[in-house]
Amino acid sequence: MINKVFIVSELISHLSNALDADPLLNDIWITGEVANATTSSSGHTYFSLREEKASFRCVLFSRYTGAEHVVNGSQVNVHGHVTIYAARGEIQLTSDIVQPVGIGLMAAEFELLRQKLEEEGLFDPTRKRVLPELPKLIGLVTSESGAVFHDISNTLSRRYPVAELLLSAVQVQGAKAENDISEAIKKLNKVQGIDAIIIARGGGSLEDLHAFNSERVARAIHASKVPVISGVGHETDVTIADWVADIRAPTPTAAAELVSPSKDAIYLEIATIFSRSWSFLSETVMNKKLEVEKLASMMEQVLPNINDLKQSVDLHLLTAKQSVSLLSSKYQADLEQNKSALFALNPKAVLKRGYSVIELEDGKRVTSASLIKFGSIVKATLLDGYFNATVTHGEISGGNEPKSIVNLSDELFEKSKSGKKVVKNDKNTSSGSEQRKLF
Amino acid sequence: MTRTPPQDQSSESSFEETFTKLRESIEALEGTELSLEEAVQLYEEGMQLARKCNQILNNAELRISKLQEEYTQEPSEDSDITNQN
Repeated sequence: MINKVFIVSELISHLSNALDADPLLNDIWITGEVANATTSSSGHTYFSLREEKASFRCVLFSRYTGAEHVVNGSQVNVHGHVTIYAARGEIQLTSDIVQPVGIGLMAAEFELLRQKLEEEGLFDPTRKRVLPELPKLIGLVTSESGAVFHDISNTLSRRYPVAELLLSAVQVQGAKAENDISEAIKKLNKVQGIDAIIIARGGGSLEDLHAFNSERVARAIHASKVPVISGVGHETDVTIADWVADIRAPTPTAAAELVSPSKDAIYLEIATIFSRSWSFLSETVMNKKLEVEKLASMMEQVLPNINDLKQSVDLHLLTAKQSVSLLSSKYQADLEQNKSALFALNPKAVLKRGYSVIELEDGKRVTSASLIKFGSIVKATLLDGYFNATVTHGEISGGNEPKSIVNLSDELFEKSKSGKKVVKNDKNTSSGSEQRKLF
Repeated sequence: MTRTPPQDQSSESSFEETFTKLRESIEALEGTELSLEEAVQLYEEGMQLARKCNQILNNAELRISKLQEEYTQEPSEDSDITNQN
């Protein structure tokens, strides 16, 4: 008898709830051979895990890693939870880890924890803190007895002995290690002035490194207020602690190197500061000197230059001398010229040529016929003497018509009509009688 | 091996402080417009700091101390760790 008729989706929903409720089916590892592997365009990988007489469908969504191991014919371990695919009513394994067979269960668990913590953001690169450049107090979580502690303290002594190393001695393997290490990190965080924490141990097997792969240690590192440097194992060993730490050093010695500046580098920086300061100071002094020199030269330009003045005076003096000399020679030349002019004007030279000078009684030279009046007694000077004469006749020339001044006798007139103004000499006649005779 | 306060904190300034001051002095010397007197003074101060840094570095020995002993007297959580070791 049928109590109730289910629709398909109701059955699927029921099965789904039943699968979810089963803890084993929610967290299960299956091993098998890969078959029918395909990858969808969205990047999800579909495959079957197969044995001789059994097969089980699996899906690996693209957000998970390990698809590269899904190759037909290869043996793999797959982790996931069992679900029902509603569209086909098929039971399948929704997987999150695919690993080739050969990796132990511990490795698989490591991968599982790594993925979990990564999804939580414990490895987020943006939360990684920067180490202080000059750490004063460095915490160290490691075993007191191992070589690691000595490697680290020797490295710090060599590189940066001004720092202080605070050891929190722990067991780094075994049952207590996980607890010791996480508690040590917490305690160091409470120490005032702590700058950074190194967690370190030497290399070992995956079992030896177990504590550094534990969730507890990972969370303690994540909760630390100061930067944590991990230096665990050898370079090839990567632990969960390395992923969470702010800085992962490949070895314990490298961790000590990363946390401390080098003494040599500091000496070099001090020396550089020395030389930079000195060259800066020298440059400053040099610049000030140049400034002073520049000012001095500016002042020289502003003030009159004595040498220039002196030169200028010299030049003026020279010009003056030249001018004087020029003037002097010009004067000489003028003098010569004037001499001949004077010579040419010499009245004696004229008298020599037959001319005479006529003067009135008052000594006034007769330069015009208009000065002569009838009966005037004039003195005629010749080159070698003189005579007096009485004017009897004359005529003023020039103008349109000759103007008669006196009626000079024709005879006398005739003798004087050669054009010469002078009256012909007549020593033998007295002036009175001649005047009378003439007029 | 009980942790003691660093010596430099009680007597004189620490290396970190001195070295930081030295770096600041060269920054100040090069970074700002200074009179010659100020520059000479900064230079002399810087050189003193540099000598002091060198001196501290030359004489330094790494101080190592252990955390456990300090915490042995503290509540159970800390004592447990010590006992486990």
